[in-house]
Amino acid sequence: MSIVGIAGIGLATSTPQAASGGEGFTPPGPSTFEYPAIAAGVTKPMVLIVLAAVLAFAALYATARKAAVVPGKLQYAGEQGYTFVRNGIARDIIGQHDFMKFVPYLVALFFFLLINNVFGLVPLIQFPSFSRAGFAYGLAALTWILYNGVGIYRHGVVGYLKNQSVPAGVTGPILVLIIPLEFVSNIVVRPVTLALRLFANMFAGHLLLILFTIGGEYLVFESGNLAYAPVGVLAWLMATAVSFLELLVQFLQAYVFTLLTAMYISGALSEEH
Amino acid sequence: MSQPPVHEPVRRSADPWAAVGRLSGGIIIYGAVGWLLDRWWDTSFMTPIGILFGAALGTWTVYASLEHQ
Repeated sequence: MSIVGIAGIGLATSTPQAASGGEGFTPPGPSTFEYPAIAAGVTKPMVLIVLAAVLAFAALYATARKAAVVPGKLQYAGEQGYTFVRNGIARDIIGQHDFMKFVPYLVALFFFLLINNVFGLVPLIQFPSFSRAGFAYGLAALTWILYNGVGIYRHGVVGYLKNQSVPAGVTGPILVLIIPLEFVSNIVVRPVTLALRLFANMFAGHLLLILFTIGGEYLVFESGNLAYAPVGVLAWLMATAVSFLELLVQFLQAYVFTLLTAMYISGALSEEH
Repeated sequence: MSQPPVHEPVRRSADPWAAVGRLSGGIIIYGAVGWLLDRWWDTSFMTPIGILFGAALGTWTVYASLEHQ
């Protein structure tokens, strides 16, 4: 009862304060990420995710279409990106024997993610699609289906479950306790952390950018206090700095998602365990 | 079996996030077991015991699998 009472007082005192400020500063929150439908229930993030798919396809197609022996600048850039995923991720992680089958998925995944993430900084677009968790869960589900399917195809259902549930280096009666743990870890927790890592990074970065940008705008133009203006400028400088940080995070998250997908495939394929 | 594979992956696939998965996996599964036991026995202490046990087991699995490599 007393806790409810204190909470009630806290609420009662804080509400008039917020109201008395008139057009007080409203910080960005989860509701900032909820866009109204443009038409027929289609929202901006939905448009962006389709646009990213089209752009990823167009970019890779354009670089490969007129493949010349002596590559032009465009072809060179495309080949560099492709080689990065093919050799740097697929071949190094999955191994010479099996990796080529997975290169198309991994390359498409990487560029699709990269474009979606970079949308967060592209003027006028300025929204990383994967800051909506649903998209991240969808993409993680694709990877989940792929690595489980590949494992079952390679080892059979029982063989694959044994592969994923019995960790290397554990023997004896303790396996009774470890097997359910390892199963949950590899089959249930993995796709969730994969999706959450991408979503949380994009969400937090976008929130931070909005906060510094509109916070600075409020302090400089709307606070009505000249002494606040330098702090607002400082907030804008922070927004600029965070933009550079975000550029790194956007690339890194696309890379990590693709890298972990390759690792899960490699783990599902591996014989010894 | 004893014949070495011709093409090994350059980097042996050690998922760095496996530790997170094992810890949370242990907590989830043994926390759930504790919760079920609590409901069965009408007690309230089995859930925390299960969570701690799961965390310990997860940590041990991380250690055991790293030791193996």
